[in-house]
Amino acid sequence: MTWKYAVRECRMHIVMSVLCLIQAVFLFAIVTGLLSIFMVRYEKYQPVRKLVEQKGFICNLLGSHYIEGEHEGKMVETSQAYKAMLKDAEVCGQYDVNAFVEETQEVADARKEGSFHKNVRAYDDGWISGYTPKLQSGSWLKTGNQEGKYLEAVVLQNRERYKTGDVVYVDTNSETELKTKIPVKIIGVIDRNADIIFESNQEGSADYHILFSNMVKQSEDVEKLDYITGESIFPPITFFVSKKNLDRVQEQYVDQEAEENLSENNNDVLNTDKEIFFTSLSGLALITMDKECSDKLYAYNKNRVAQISDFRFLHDLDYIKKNTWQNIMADISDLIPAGVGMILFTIISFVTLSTLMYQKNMKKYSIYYVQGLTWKQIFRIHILYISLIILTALVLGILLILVAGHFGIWSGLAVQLGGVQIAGCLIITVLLLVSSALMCLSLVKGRSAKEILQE
Amino acid sequence: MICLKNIVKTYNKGKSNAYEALHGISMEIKDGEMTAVIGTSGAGKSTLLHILACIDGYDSGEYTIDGEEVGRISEKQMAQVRNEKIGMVMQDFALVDGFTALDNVLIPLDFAGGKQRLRKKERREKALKMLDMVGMKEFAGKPVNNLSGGQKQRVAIARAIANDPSIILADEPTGALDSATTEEIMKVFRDLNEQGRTIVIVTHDPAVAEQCGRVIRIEDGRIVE
Repeated sequence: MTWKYAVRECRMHIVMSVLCLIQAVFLFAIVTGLLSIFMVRYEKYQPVRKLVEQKGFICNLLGSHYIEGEHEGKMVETSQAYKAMLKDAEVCGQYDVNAFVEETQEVADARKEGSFHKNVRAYDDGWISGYTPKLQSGSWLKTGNQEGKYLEAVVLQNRERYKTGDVVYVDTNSETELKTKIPVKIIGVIDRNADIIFESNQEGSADYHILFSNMVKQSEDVEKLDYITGESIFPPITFFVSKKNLDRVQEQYVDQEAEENLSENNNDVLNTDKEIFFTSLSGLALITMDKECSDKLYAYNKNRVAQISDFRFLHDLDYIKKNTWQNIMADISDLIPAGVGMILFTIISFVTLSTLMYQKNMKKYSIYYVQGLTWKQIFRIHILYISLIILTALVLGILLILVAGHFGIWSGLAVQLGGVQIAGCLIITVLLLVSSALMCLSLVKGRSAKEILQE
Repeated sequence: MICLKNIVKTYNKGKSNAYEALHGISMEIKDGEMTAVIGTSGAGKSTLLHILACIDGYDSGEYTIDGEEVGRISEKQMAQVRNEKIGMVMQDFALVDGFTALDNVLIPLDFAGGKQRLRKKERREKALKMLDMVGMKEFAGKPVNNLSGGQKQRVAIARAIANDPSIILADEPTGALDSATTEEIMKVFRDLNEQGRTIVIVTHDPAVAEQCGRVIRIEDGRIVE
């Protein structure tokens, strides 16, 4: 019964209903637009938020050297060694690995394209767990110690040269070839348009974008140049590995390799540090401390980093965080007053229309009362009627956004339809319903059906 | 049977402009009676009728329908009484503009609950039957806005009797009609009374009152005869 009479209301007040509907669609469009602008930026920041919102600093290392002790002047190779030179700090680094990856048969067959430079980069666990790039196939690197005698790698490439599941072999870049073949299993391929955490060439105000680099896009042009000039300008293919996994695999092969080299009187690879591949701390490094650490300790560590390392930049994470939020909110803070104003205006306008309709219906509702409904039941009919308009507007709004998206109308605009936008629209729905209900209740309060009928 | 004992009704209670419209009205209306309530303007006859129709409250006293005290029942039960036991006819017809005659008669049938509620098809059939009873079947699909005063009142009567109530209350049902139409409408009321329904008509028209078996006169909120 309630449905029948609510639908009948829509039909009887078609002009008012359509006016309300248009206002509600407009309202949902504003809410979706505003939330989209925020969400597009926020969602990109969210995955690295934990990394950025720590106490410490971030630097883009070019090289680091011991400044005292028995290794003075030598290069710092690991984040553990770097950490030992600081006080109460954690160091999360990235590494250049002195390794050469063999080509697969398909890659070898495609040699006419030229020889491709293959770079191996190792990441500490903090970077691996801190952000997972979008993958074309397979999975991202694992943290912690891995069992097995092969290295797991995720590959970044311009063209389909390596596939998930391929097994290739690594050698050192030194003149002497390894006697033992160290297998590398490709566990994932990074999506061509993925943003990955890599040393960034970001300029201007440093925000969280400083962590990212879209290497594939950058390297596309460089690869062409590389092919023409025959010089390695930028590594077109990069194998990302876990530093822990690299260390563990090296450990398993280093003795065997040393023995085989000794038997050939070749001392070149014999290594007392159980290391086959030379690694150097290079690229982004996060140096973090306890949130409660003193300013003195913080300053000490920052000063030490400046002494130990050459870097492209060194920024406080607080500074990055501040800039990030400033940039996320940049246009939004300009749009919020106008947006909120429009939202309020539309809500008021909608509620006024809905109240006018209720007022107009008061005599009819009083007849319903005389004919056997309670005010509560009558109110339910009206609210259902308003809900029908709002829900139709919501569905219509969503359809419009989807259809417009399908035809590419939003290209270049930040409009998207996600959970947050839908939740925002639902909150507006509740707001519209509650305010309409309250206004209508205030109309009935203290008046009897008899009085209304006699007016 | 309708029974009122010492019903007092004060408007604007607690305010400076408060006034007592009914000063302890007591009366009984037996089943099947056709009663006219007459009196001058402002005498309290409409107030009395609205209390009888359960659309207005009272301050003190006791009102029972078939032994059940109306003042003690819940809002929901009161709505049920209005829907099932009472049929109401107003001077201005109180029809829903924009609805057809059929839709208007369907209202109490749609609002009926529990065992009283009929299936959709049955409701429609019954509404048509009611319209037929008042000679309005052929106008069933017409919006009530397009009907004459007499036709509208017939539709209002059809709606009042749709749920077979035992009591029909009419507030100046002929007040807006000419004498010929008044006669037609009164005939409908007499027929309904002959079918056993209790009818209470508030009127200031002596000709209407004459056609009722009993006349109650109210003056200044009191029954005077």
